[in-house]
Amino acid sequence: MASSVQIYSNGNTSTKTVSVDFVGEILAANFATNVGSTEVEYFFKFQTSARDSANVQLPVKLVLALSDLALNGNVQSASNNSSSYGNVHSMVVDYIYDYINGHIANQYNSGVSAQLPMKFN
Amino acid sequence: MATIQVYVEEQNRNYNVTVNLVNGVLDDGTGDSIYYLTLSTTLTYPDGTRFPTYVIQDLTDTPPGYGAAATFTELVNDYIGYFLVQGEVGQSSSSSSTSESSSSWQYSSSTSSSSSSSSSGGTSSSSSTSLSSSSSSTSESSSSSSTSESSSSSSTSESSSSSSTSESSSSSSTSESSSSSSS
Repeated sequence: MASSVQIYSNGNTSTKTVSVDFVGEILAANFATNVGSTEVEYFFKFQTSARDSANVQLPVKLVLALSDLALNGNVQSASNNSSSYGNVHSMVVDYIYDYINGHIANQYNSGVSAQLPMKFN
Repeated sequence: MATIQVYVEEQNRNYNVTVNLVNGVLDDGTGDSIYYLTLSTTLTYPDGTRFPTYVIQDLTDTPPGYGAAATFTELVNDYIGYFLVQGEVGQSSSSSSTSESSSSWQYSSSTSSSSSSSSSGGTSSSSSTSLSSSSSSTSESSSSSSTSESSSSSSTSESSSSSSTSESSSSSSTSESSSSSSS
C-alpha cells in the first residue's frame, strides 16, 4: 500500500504530497529476454505532483537497493555520506528530504544535476 | 503494494505473495514511527499452517538460510523461493505409493509465477521448482528460487506438458516425466 507524506509549507499555508510505494514492475532499461531471466523488478517508487520553485515537475524516483543514494546514486542528500542507507526508513526520509530541499549541481561531488526546492505557492 | 501471483499448475491454483510498505511503530521499544516492508503469503506449510508475516527493514532481512540480498528484487525472489521450498507446494510429491525396493524415477517440473501491479504496465516473474527422486530417501536442496527435492515412489510413468501465460510475456512450460520399474 502506498504511503502518502503530507508536507506543509513553512507558513503552514499549503501542503504538497509525496507518494511512496513498493511495486513490482518492468523497467524498460533492464528488460532482458534471456532464458530464466526475471523481467519484473521490485523497487520503491517516489511520486509527487509538486513542482520545483521554477515550476518544473519533480521527477519520479525509483530505488532498487539501499545503495541507490539520492544524489546520482552516489551520495545521500541530507549529508555528505556515500554509504548505503542503513534501512528502508532512512532511505525514504532522505529521498523526501531531497524532494523538499533540492540540491545544487554536483552536490558533494556526486555528479548530480541541480534540482530546485519544492514549490509551495 | 506489490502482489505476486504464484501459479501452481499441479493444483491449478494461484497463491499470493504480497509486499506492503508500512509507516508504523514496531514492537522494538523505541516507539518511533518508521517505514518498513511487510511480506506475507497465502502459501502454507505442509501442515496447513500459514507462514508468518515477515518484517523487512533492510536487505539483510532475508528468509531463513539466505544471505543478504543486493536488491529488493533479489530479496522478494528469495522469499518466493523460500515459500515454494518450505511450503506445501515444495514438500508434496505427485506420487503417493511407496515400495521398499522401488527403483529410481525422476520428476521435474517448472511452475510459473505471474505478478501484476496495480499501476502501470504488466509484470511478470517466474521461479521454477524441480524435483528429482531416487530410491526412497528424501533430500532437499535449494538455491535461490529453484528447488530440488527427492522422494520415493513406486513405478509410475507419466508425461505431460502445458503452458501458462501471464499478463505480460511470461510463459512457462511444465513437463514432468518419471519412469521406473519395480521388480
